[in-house]
Amino acid sequence: MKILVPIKRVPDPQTNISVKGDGTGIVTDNVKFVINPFCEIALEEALRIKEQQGGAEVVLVSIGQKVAQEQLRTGLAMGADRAILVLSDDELDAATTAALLAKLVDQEKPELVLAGKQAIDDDANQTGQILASMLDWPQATFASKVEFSGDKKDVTVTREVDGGLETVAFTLPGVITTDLRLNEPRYASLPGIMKARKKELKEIPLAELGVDAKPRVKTHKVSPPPKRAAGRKVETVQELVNLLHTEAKLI
Amino acid sequence: MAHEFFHPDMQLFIDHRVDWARYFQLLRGTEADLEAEVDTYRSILSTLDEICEDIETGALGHWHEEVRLVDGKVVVPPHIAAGYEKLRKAGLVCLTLDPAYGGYGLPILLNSHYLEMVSRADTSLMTILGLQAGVAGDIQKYGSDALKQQYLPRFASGELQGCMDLTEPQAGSDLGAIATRVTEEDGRYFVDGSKIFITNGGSGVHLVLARDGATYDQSKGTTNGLSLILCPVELPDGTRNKITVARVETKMGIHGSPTCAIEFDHAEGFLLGERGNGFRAMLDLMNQARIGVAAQGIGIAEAAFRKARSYALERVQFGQPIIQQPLVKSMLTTMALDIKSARALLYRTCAMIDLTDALAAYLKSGRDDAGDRTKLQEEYERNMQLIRFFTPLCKYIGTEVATRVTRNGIQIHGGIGYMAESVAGHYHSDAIITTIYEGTSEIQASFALREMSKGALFTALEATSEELKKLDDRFPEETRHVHAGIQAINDSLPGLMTDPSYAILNAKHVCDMMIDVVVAAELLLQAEVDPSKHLAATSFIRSRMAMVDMHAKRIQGGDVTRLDRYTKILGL
Repeated sequence: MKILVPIKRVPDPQTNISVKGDGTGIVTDNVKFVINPFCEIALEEALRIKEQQGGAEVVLVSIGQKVAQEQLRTGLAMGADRAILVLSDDELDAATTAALLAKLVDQEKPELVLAGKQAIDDDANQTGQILASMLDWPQATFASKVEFSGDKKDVTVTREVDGGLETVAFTLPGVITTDLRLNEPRYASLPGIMKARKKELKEIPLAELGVDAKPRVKTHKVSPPPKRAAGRKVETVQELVNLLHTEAKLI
Repeated sequence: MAHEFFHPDMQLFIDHRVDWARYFQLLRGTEADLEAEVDTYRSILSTLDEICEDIETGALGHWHEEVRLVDGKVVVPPHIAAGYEKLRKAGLVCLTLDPAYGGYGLPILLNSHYLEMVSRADTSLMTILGLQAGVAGDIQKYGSDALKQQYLPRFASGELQGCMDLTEPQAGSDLGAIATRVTEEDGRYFVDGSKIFITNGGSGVHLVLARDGATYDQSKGTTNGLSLILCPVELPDGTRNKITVARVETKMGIHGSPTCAIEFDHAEGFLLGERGNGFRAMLDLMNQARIGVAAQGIGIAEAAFRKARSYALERVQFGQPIIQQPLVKSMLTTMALDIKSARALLYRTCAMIDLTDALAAYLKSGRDDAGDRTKLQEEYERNMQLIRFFTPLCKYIGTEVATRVTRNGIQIHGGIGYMAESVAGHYHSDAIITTIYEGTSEIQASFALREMSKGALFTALEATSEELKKLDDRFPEETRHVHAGIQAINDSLPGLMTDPSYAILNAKHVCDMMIDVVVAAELLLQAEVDPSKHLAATSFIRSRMAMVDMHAKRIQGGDVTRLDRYTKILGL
């Protein structure tokens, strides 16, 4: 089985993010970048599938600037077999990203695309879904459990939905996007890091894929969330309950 | 502030302060892909950065958990076992071991960064890992081929752990007092005796320093006639060796680190190196362990400093965060500079050890592509002299800094820092052992003094003066102060030479002075490539050169009669 895993380079969720003075984006100087945590979970799942089903190949894809090599190398060190970097200096929207991935699916012909459900930088939660519809493939999003049939042709996915779990199944090929509780990603290992140096990392200029990358979504302004206002002390429990009812309207 | 286990000072050192081109040229010839190699080092440290954050989180709140002895087996607390397992899974246990045995042959500098990071995350765990590369390294250097094949791959994979068994009730700093006996019987070796304070004594492999039975009485009281014996808990034929963990100690700190009393009851072992010459082999291991403990000290200090800094930013008294109080600000700055200076000395010493290992490899090989062999031989010998001098200094300053910084960490926390559950207090309790084990600070200072008297002092001062001269144009004001510091050291020497006891009495002061001038030059070299380091360098030089001057004057102004006065003050 061949599994395509798209990964995105995003700021480390542990980092304190500040917004640029002119509101055009975030300050990226001295910010550490990592693999988007949901993408990392997708990669971990792909690696586990590979380990369970001998002979599977895991191909990483990232789209962005050359520096995204770092994240691809980390993914290779974790155990992916090879990587593709589509070079682009522009911010791409979800539809364009999906179109580019669809092109790569045409070229690579994987049976499965395993992606994160969303990137923690823009929280769009769209790429996997748009990709599935462009390919006209079945999709299972927000996966918390992935199980293959004995002949590896069908897959059953448990999804985390509001108020419970939903189980869906489809016949490959298809798209799965991962939720937080699917697995706990491994660390790159020292032997893995050594091996990663010899693995293929192919760079493709975006123009070569023949996809219209003109942005359809425009970011007007980025602003930090409002600062939390100071709390208020109340004297009695009764007073608290009253305020929760009348003012906060929570109960 | 990001967690930065992979500290910016490490990054700066790897990026700018190591001549990797020369290192690889000497080690392997021209074919090495420099950028790829160094990039791999960065990847390894980045991975460690993440694992260490995880280990620190896992250790939080478990500091007090003790090692237990269950049915003769040493059981470490769960967070220690989990931390070890994380590193083992990532293949990060024995970084320096030769690739021929499944290791990665990584430089000592990387290993030292690794130990510093793990120590900051959980210093009890570090005591276990800190031993592994040293024990395996000793087997690699002194073991027979059969021993190497049998044990080293399992060290590389982390399946097997080792420890070194030196201390006995009557043999602490004075290893000449070792009474444990090794007897040869038809070519086989058997060990009888008791060892105490054995870190990680539950290991599968013990490297035991024992007195050879054939020359037992003649060699008694000296470090001659000692043999280094590898005693496995499980013998090659699968039977259990006669090694017993008699006791696990309860200590003031590093609770998660096993400290054991071990009994050898005619336990079989295998000779490492020459019979009767085991002290040499043990010194190799000790030197590596000293570098490791220096890194450990710096790691604890860094943890304590971060905690204190963030507390001082949050804690409001008199209407403002206490970090704004001049006395708190000064305490924190001293802590930061203390750590920076211990790092500067350790990192440059590690880089020198690596370069010297590469020189040795080149000189041993038949190659002639990296320069004139006679000249390189001279460089090798000069470096060895400096390494023998700087290694005890690294251990001394790294661990003294650890106790000072963690102590001030408590002070900054005020009463909260003194509570039993205070992390600041834990760091201090953990740090105190570092100035004691692997040779006390006093032993380190006297080792360094001995090397100085054999010529290392002049070699080091000369090398530092050379470095400074190249910086004179760029930092005239700073280098002037350091040149003056070197002059002050030179001026104090005649006074020091008057009597060996007087020299010993001042050994720590001399060490402090030497460290301060060497570090001053190093910090300026760092400021040269990274201007953001300039302020720290200047501040260090201003305060420390005044100390150098003071020590020098104190040495000049006294003589050995000072010891007589001390005798009287103590009423002896």
